[in-house]
Amino acid sequence: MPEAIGPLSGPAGLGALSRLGARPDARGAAAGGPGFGQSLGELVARVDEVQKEAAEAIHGVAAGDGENLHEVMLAVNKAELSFTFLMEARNKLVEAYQEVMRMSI
Amino acid sequence: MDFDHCLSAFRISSSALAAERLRMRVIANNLANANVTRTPEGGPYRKDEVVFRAVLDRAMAPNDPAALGGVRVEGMVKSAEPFRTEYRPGHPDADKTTGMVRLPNVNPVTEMVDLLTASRSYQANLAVLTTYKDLMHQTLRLGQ
Repeated sequence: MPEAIGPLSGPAGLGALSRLGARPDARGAAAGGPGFGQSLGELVARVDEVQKEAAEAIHGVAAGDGENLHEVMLAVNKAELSFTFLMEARNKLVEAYQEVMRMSI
Repeated sequence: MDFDHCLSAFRISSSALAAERLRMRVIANNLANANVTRTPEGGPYRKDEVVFRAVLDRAMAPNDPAALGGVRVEGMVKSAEPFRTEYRPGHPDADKTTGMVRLPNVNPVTEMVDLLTASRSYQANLAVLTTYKDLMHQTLRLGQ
C-alpha cells in the first residue's frame, strides 16, 4: 500500500487527490500505473469480496453445516484483518487531506 | 492487493486443523468399534490409521517459501496388527473347536494416547493462528 499512498506527497498526487474529490469514481489519470483512486477502488472491492466470503461461511454454519468450523472462523478473521487494513488506509488518506487543507497559502 | 497471499499462514494452519480433526474422528471410530466382531468385510473390526502428506507446490522451486501448502490427508489405511484373541466359549462368534474369539486390533490405551497427540497438535496449530493474527493486528496498528 505505501506505493499507493506515496503519490500524495508529490504535486501530481495533489492533483489526483482533488480529482478524487471531484468525481467519486475518479480513475486517477496520473501518468504511468493505476491512479490512487483506482487502487483504492480495487482495495474496497477486494475487502468487500472477503466480507462476503465470511458472511457466506457464517450462513453455512447457521444452515447446519458445522463441519468446517475453523474455516468459518478463519474467513471471519480474514475479513476483520482486511477491513482493519482498509480503515487504516482510509485514515491515512483523510489525515493527508486534512493536512493539505490546513496549509496556509 | 491480494489478501490470500498475505494470509497464507492461515491457509497452512487451516489444512493442519482439518487434518487433526479427521484424525480425531478416526480415533473416535476406532474406539467406538473396539469390541466389534462382525464387519461387512468379515472378521472383527480392523483399526484405521490416517496418513498425512506434506503439500508443496511442485510448480515452484523446492526452496521457495511460496510453495508451502500445509498438509493433506493422503487417506486411511487398515492397521496390519494382529487381532486380540480371548477365550469366550459362549460368544456367538467364538471358534467352535477352540472357543477363542477374535477381537479388533484396537488398543484403547494407544487410541487415548493418539487422541491426546491429535488434540495437542490441534492446539499447536491454533496457537500458530492466534499468534499470526495478533501480530497482523499489531502491524496494522503501526499506521496509528
